Amino acid sequence: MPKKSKSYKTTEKWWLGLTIVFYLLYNLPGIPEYGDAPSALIHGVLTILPLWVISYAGLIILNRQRSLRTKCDSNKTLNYSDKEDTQC
Amino acid sequence: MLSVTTTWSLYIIYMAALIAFGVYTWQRERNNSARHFFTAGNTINWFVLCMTYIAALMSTWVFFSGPGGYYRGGFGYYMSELSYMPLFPILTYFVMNKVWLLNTQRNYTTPADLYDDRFRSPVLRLILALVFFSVSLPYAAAIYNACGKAAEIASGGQINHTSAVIFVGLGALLFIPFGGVKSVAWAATVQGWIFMVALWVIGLSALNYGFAGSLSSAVLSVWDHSNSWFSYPGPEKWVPYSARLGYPLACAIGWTIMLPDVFIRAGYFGKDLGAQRKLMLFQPILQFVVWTGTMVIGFVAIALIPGLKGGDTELVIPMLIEKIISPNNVSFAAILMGLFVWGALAKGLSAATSHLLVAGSIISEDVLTKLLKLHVSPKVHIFIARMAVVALGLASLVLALNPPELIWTLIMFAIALVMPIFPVLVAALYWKRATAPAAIVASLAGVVAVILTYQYGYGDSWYGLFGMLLSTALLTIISYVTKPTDQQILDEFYGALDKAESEYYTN
Repeated sequence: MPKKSKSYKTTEKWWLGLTIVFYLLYNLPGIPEYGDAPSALIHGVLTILPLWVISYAGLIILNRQRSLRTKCDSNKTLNYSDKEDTQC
Repeated sequence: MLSVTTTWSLYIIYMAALIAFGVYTWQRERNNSARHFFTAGNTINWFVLCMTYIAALMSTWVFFSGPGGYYRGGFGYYMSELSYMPLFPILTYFVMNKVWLLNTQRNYTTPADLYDDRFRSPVLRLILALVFFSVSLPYAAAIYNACGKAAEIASGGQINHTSAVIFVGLGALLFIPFGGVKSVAWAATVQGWIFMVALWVIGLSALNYGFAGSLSSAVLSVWDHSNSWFSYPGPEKWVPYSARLGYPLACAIGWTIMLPDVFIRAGYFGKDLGAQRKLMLFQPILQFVVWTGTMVIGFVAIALIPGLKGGDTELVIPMLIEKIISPNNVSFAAILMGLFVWGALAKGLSAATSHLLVAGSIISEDVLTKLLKLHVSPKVHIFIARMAVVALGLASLVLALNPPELIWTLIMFAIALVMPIFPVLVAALYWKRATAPAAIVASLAGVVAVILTYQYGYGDSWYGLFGMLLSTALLTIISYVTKPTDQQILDEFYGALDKAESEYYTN
């Protein structure tokens, strides 16, 4: 259990860190130059596309590393008013 | 384009269906509490959660200012929006999922409830209630106004703007107080599909009739004739460096997380953590679908009807239908205009009802119950909650009929105004050393800084960035020089968070 817990914490740090890095790269001042259409498109591909990839890759990895308790397990301790939530 | 009878029929059928649905939900949910009325108390399934979220985000902006924005801002404007969408899963994972977990233990109703739970400060609750309220009410009023505009445009000016606004405003009033947030969420699910279909059908039809369906021909035409559309800062210099940084941040933090109607969706609605995960997974994709559809319309418009300026660019959808599609196929153009009306109504009402409900919850829960300590029976409480929504619905209707100049300003910086409250939320969730005085000063000074940013002409491009930075700095400094929060309060708050984490996660 402790090993599992550590692996998702590491993923969280990489996820957040890489997102910040690529967000900063997208926002580098002066790049691309104003009025330069090809550069603007290349800049978008090199920074925005990785942002999407990192966002989804991190999410999928974290979801695998951090599994959820089953509905029946968690409902034992909740106070939902909906009937369907209390079937377990 | 559409006859008066057709336009009114579209409005009446749509509003009648909404009201019938509201009454149906009321019959099913009539015995629930005020908390359930305003937040559905963690019972919304993932599909409805995703759809009500996207519907709450996309106001009538999508049908008016949106295509005009891309027309004027160009592809750089679109890229700046593509840069904030992937931030949603990260922000939700680290912030809003924790809010959701806390809510399962602490039963919050309004956004300010969480802050008050952590900082135990009525002053902070009052400040937050004022901020959240002041961004919600004008939003609803502006949307009513846009619905009136849609009817006026679709009927070629034959329908009076005022009568359409009154009809929509009163219709919404009959709808919201009955079913509460659950009926709004379910209706938004249906409405969301209507507006997404409408958006793409209009854009692709204009491309089909204008360029025989050839996207490459359209791209080459814009590349040759309006090349600045593809570069920063865009044809009308909408996206200088400041806006490329400030606007997406305002969208990521203010618009998709901190505006009160989306805050309660991401934090209080979801049925379980599985629903939260689906929200993180699908929300950027849904936003991509909607924004790309809107961008396609703006792009086709600059390719086919270049040279528009200012407010005219906001009417590119009806212009494309009338000038490009109608000469080729009148009947199809009429159907598209009907879709435009329904789409604008669907979108407008989703966002307006969401804002009215959250504004009602602020009056009913934050002000009357928590600040003025009103003690009444649950039945009277829910009655007050419904009446608060009715009163605010009427107030927005009056505001929509006589919009003061301030209303547009408020809407423009609504997403910026809530940004300084984000660092306070992060500190509440992660930093035990954060104190109530620091949270109060940071929220207040941050909001004032945003107002001053606009006052001195920096707001349109930097949005709430300076206010948020100031708020972060003040929160940190003042927390260190003020007395730490009582350990018992911290144990209670963070203990609830730990308990929820262990209940919902296996590790």
